[in-house]
Amino acid sequence: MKLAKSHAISLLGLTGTPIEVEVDISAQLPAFVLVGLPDASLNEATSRVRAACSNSGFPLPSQKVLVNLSPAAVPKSGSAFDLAIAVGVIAAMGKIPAAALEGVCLIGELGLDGAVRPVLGVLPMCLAARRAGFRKVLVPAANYAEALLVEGITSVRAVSLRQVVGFLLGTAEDEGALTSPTIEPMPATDARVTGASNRDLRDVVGQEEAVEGLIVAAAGGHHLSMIGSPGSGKTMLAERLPTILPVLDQEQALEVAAIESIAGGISFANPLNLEPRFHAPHHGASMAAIIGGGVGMPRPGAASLSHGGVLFLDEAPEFNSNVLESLRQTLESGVSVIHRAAGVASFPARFQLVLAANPCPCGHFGSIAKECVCSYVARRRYGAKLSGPLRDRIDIRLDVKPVRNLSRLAIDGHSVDSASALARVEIARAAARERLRKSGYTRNSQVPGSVIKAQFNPGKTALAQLDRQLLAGKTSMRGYDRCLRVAWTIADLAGANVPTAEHVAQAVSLRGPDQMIGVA
Amino acid sequence: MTTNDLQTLVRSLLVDEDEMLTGSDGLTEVTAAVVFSHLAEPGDRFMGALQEAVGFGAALEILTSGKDIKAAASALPSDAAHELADIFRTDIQILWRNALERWAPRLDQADILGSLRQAADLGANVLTRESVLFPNGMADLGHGMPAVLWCKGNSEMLSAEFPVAIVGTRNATRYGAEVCADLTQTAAEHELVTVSGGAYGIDAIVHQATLNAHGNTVAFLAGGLANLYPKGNLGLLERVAAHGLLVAEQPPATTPAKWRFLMRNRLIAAMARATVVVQAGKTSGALSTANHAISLDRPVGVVPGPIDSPHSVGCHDLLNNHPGQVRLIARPSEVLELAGISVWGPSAAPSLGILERRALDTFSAGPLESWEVQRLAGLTVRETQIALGSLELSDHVTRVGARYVRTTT
Repeated sequence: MKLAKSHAISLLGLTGTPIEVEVDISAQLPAFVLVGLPDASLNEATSRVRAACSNSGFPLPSQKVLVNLSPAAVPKSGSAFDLAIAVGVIAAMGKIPAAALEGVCLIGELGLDGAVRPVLGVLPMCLAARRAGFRKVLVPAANYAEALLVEGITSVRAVSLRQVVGFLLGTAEDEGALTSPTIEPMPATDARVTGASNRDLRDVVGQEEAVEGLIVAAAGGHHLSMIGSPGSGKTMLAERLPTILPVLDQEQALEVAAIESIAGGISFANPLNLEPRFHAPHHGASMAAIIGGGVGMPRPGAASLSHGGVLFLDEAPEFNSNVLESLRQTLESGVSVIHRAAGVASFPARFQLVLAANPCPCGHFGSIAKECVCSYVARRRYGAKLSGPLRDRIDIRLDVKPVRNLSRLAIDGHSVDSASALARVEIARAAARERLRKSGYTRNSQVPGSVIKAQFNPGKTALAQLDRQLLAGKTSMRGYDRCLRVAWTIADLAGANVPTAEHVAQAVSLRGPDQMIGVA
Repeated sequence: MTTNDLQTLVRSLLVDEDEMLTGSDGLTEVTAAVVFSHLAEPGDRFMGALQEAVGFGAALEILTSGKDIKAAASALPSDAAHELADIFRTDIQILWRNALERWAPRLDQADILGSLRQAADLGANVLTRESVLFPNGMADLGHGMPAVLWCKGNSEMLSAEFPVAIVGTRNATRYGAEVCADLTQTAAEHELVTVSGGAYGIDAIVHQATLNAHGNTVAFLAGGLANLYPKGNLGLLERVAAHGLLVAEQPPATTPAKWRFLMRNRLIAAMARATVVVQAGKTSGALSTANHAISLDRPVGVVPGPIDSPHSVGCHDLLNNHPGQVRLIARPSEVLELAGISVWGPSAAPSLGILERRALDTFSAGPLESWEVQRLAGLTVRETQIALGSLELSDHVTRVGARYVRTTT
């Protein structure tokens, strides 16, 4: 037998395409040729496969080995095809019957000694394998926990090329179970319950206003901006937002796990982590780092990694304006879309945005303790970095001030802790979900202004004051909409059926002026 | 044909019979008023003066008695005759002769009966000055007040508290159309009744925008209710009749004519609390409405336009020629102020609550941050947020960055 076929998966974004690996061995000058649109990284597979095969007891014949990855038009990249190519070659040498490779998908990188090494993206590959109708998927033992998240397909630990061939021939059981350290699939856990996260809202002292605002933001899923001088506790507050967000549902957790699988951030021990993620990319981060991209296989960026959780941009005006502007589209669609000549990769990215900024470049504008040294122009420019359309998507603005009144620390005992705040948030979210069910939204922050005014209008009495402001041109229509959204969340938190004038007034306090920072 | 037939028909056209027929000879008077609306052209001051002196009933009786001019003039009570002569500075006999020459050709009972039947077929109503629904503002027209109003639609709109007239050129530009729709919508949303003339351009937009906002709108017609004009607005005027109100001064069969348009404008100005001219060329009819409003001491507002636009020349001239009487409309809400609804007044801004009062009292000269307000006022965080938000909304404080400044004292 000089011709054999094995199967692998090629990923673009989260979408996997089944790839047929055809191997032909023919009597020509000895060579190992890989065709079918492999990129440079994939072409290296030939050297690894040759070494791994001979070191596993299957030396390649002194003939021409031709490997075709089909469909040839799909661009392929990375080292995850190694195992499928090696097994295909060995089958073409007549060592594995064709029937043994039917319905089997092979994923893994090979070491020169034949060891199967972990690769990125095993979870989405397994999902694609199941969708393509494979019965079995062989994955690197280190990625086994991810593969186990996919039900309806048998996953097998691959430890070495030798063991894989043995397994396919039926002479060895799932040998990995014996030879590798036992990796049991972990039950889905919420890290907070087990105490893995030691952050708590209780740590925040003397910032009652900000904490209240944070709870409103969590309850409505509102994007949030925090303005305050350095050291006022913006980062501390932002880090605690995930602790008062409801846990991810299974579907969302799987999406996050798949993203992390591709990005390489997945926990081998606990792949299905229900805890909302928190990512705080540095302000020097590139577009690829935030939105996604990169050379070869597009990788998800921080926006997607924060899916279902919190994306925190500290020193937001210092970010590259391209990056901030491209976030706008992501905020709107909830998807990061990366266009490549080869195709379009998309990653889910429905995160809660938290922007933090100083009041001015030096950070002391409006401060009593230190004098601001920034010129008016510098302040304006700083504020203008956050464009109007981006600001429009941010419902809540918090002014965070350094705690300078020590007497305020005395009420430490009364600080809100994350558990009780989370309980309030969950009740408010349930109320919003129930109300919005028919409209197809789940959180107040998602409801467009037109819908909220038409279907969820709190009525003239509650809005009388706000209406006057709008009429007098003191509030923009967008500011008005923001206010309505936040007022609904405040009402949900208060257990009210409909926002009252008081809720609207509090929303106005939380909404802040349309102009964000820098100019007073 | 008897007077009884006439009275029965008139009675069937009344909206609020009881109100109008209280007097002993109420129906006679009302019927006479309806007859006079067939005889006199709009703004016939002699008719008005005659009514004031002796009443429609008595006037009609003398008119139909077949007396010659001298006898008719002397049939008037002597003090009434003197009064009329004084008003018009003319001999009463000459006045009477002129009136008779105007009115007698139209005094045909069969024609009038036919006209009343036509009105009944149209579903129209008649409103006399005695009706509670009759617009109070009409009284300012003095002797020029119409004898009756012929209505089709919801005549209760006539007695609205804050009617506002929005008028302008038939050749509205895109700017004018948009501004007009804006103003109208603002007025309609605040439950003002909009009043206009049913013409093309600005008038049509006023009616249309009001109907779109589910508001109340009144169109005053130059012709009768059976002669809706212009024909291109037929559909719109029918919708106004269905959801608003069509009003005419003269019987249904009256044809619209140029002088009637000008006289019709006085009714728009008189009924409305305020008149706004959105766009008007140098000779636009809207200027006549505005001038009527000015002579009636009604507030007039004009919407400014580009100074090189012929469609706004009239507006700008109004503003220049009547300093202090005509006001520039700089934003939609000013229409409400013009009509007497104070946007900032006590009716719109509720008095401060205890929370707001406490928070406001903490402000002295300088700006305060919210935590300072909270401490000084002794409030909770939530209470402070509510109080400051509410004070910001009611313009008692403004927000400057993270701080609040008191704006009123």
